[in-house]
Amino acid sequence: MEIGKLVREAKQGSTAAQKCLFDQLSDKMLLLCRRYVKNREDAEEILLDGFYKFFKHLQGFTYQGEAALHAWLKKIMINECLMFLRKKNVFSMMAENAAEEIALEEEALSNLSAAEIFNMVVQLPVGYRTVFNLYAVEGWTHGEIASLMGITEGTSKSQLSKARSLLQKMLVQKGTEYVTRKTN
Amino acid sequence: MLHEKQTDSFHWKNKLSDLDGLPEESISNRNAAWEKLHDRLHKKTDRNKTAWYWAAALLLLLFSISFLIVTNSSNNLHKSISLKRTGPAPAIKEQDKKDNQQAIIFIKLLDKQPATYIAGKNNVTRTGTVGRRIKKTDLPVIINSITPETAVVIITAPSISTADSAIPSIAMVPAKPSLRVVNINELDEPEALFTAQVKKHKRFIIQLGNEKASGKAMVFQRNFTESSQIKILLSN
Repeated sequence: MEIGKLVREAKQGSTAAQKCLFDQLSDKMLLLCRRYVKNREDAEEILLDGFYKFFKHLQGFTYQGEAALHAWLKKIMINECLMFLRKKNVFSMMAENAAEEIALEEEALSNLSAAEIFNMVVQLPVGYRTVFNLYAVEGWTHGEIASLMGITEGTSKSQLSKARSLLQKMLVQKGTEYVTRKTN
Repeated sequence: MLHEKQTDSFHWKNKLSDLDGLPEESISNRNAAWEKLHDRLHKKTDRNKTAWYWAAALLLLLFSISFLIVTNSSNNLHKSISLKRTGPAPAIKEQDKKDNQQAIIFIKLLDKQPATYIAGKNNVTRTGTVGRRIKKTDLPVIINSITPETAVVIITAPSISTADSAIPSIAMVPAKPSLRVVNINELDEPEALFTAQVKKHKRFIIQLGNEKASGKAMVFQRNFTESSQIKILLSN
C-alpha cells in the first residue's frame, strides 16, 4: 500500500495502517539505531520508543512525500539513540585537542558493499561511531555535534579523526584480506 | 579529482543510508515488537482516561466538601456568637487618620456564651461562630463619626437586638439595677435597705390658678405608680 495513504489512515487512528507503517519502516530504522547503539536489544528498545513517539506525534505531521516522512522518522530515531547514549553517560569524553585531520579513502569505501560499510561502522568505539555517524553520514557540523553531546568542538574533531584512522586500518585489513583471498 | 572524491563520498553515504535492511539485522520477533508497541500506545490513552476520572472525582470531592462547609457556616450565621469583653474598653483605632471619621473596633472572642455585638450608627450587627477565635480582620466594624467615648460593647443575653439609628452609641446595655453595698451593721431596720435601693427623685408641676410651680419629691419606686398621689404641704 502507498505510504501516503497509510500515513493518512494511521492519523485517523487505524491500527492496521500503523502496523503496516511499522512493518515497512522498522527494518531500515533498526539499522539506523544499530549504527549508533551496538547492542541489539537496546537498539530494538530504542526503535520501539522511536515508533511510539512517531505514532504519538503523527497527528501534527503534514505528509509531504516519502522522503520527508523518512527524514522525520530518522530524526526521531537519532534523537532517541542520542538520548539513550547520554543516559548511559558515554559522552563523558575527556576534552581533546583537534587532531590532525585524516583523509578517509572514500574510493575504497565506495567499493565496499553497504553491509560491509555498516559492519565496519558498528565496530567503531561508541564515541568515534557517534561522531562519525553524525558528521560523515548525517552531515552535522562539529559545532552542532559538540553542543548536542556536551563536548568541545576539538573533541568532536579528534573523535572523528580517530574514527577515520580506525576505519582506514580496517579498510587496509580488508584490502589485505581481499588480496590474499584473490591470490589464493 | 575533487569531483570524483565527492562522488565517492556521496556514493558510500547513500549506500549506508539507503540500506533498507540486512537479513541478519531485522527485528527478532516483529509481531511481538508490534504487540508491545500497540499495548504501549493504547495503555497510554487508558492511563490518560484514568487520570481524567481521578481528576473528576477529586473535583467532585472538593465541591462536596466546600458545599458542606458553606452550609455549616450559613447555619452558624443564624446562631449568636460568643463575645465577651474583658479588661479595658475595646480598642478603637482610627483607620483613616486624615478625615478622622472612621473607627475600627476589635473585639476578642473569649468564651462560648452567646452574645450579640451591635455596632451603632449603621446598625451593623456581627455574629460569629461559637468557640472560634475571631481574627482582628473578621470583626472590624466601621462606624462613621463616632468618638471612642461613645463606643460601648455589650455582653447580654443571646438575643439579637436592633439598634436605634438615632442613638449614636454603638451598643446598648440593659441597665442592671445598681445595688448599693451595705454592711448589715449599717442598717437600722430592714426597710432602710429597701429604701436605699429604690428611692428616686420625681419632678412634678403644681398649678394654682394661673400660677405654676415645679417641685421635686423623693419617692419609693416600688410603690410609685401613675395613679399614686403625692401629698404636698403648702406653708406660707
